[in-house]
Amino acid sequence: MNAIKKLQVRIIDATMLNCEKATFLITKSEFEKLSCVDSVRLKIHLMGCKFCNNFKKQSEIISYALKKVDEIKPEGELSLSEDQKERIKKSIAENLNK
Amino acid sequence: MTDTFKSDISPELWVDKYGDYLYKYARVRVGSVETAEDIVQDTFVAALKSYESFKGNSSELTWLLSILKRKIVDYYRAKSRKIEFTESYFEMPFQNKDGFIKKWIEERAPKDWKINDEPLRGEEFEKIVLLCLSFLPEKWKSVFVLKILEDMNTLEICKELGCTDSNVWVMLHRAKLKLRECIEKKWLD
Repeated sequence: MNAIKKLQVRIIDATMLNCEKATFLITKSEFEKLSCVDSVRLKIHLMGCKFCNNFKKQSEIISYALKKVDEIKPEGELSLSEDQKERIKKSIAENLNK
Repeated sequence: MTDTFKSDISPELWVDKYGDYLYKYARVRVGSVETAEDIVQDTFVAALKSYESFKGNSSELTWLLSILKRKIVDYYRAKSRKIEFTESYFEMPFQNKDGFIKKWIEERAPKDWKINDEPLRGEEFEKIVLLCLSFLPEKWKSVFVLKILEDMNTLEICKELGCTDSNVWVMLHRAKLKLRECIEKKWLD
């Protein structure tokens, strides 16, 4: 009985994606076209897995947010302090006449 | 072809004109305040030394930015040669018992963030993303930044950081899992 169950698990594991592999493929698919087999396996997995669907959506949100990052204004802690500016100006001046 | 002269560039204005922009660009990508400052400073100094490479047809900012981008890659390249860069420990959020199919561990599984695609996320969300990005182990961060923010292809990344193609995907995957978990904790709180 136990042996049959183990075999069952192995067969399922070999044909179906698990969540670890599915999230790997979701990550990869953002940059590269998946092979046909992987693409189908991922689609099938996503039909039945709420968590991986959430992961996919979040992945897209994160990538989108990261693309927008360069539009954030350089203010506050994302800008140079006066001290930093002085230091950099000094080093430019030192190197200017070399 | 016209030659570039030192008089074609205006270094005395660089800090006030482009300093903040370049600093933010670097800060987002390397995380640390000091490193970002160093990178901006190195960029300006390198620019002074290679002003011949400034072609009048691109703007000064574009030219400086291209130097800065190279400095960021150099920073991670140098880091990748150091020992502390070795892989850090991260427990995958999947069940890993013998005979079990690797499903999400329920408590660590992705929740519904209840946000749609539109701007309601705003800067607060972006800030959480940046904060969590800065928490990533250096090695994963380097791959993540070069791939996603710098849009480099895997081959180039491997050349710079000395890793293999499949390695890059594994690191991106783990980085994404860790980043996601961090964002979720801070965003849903």
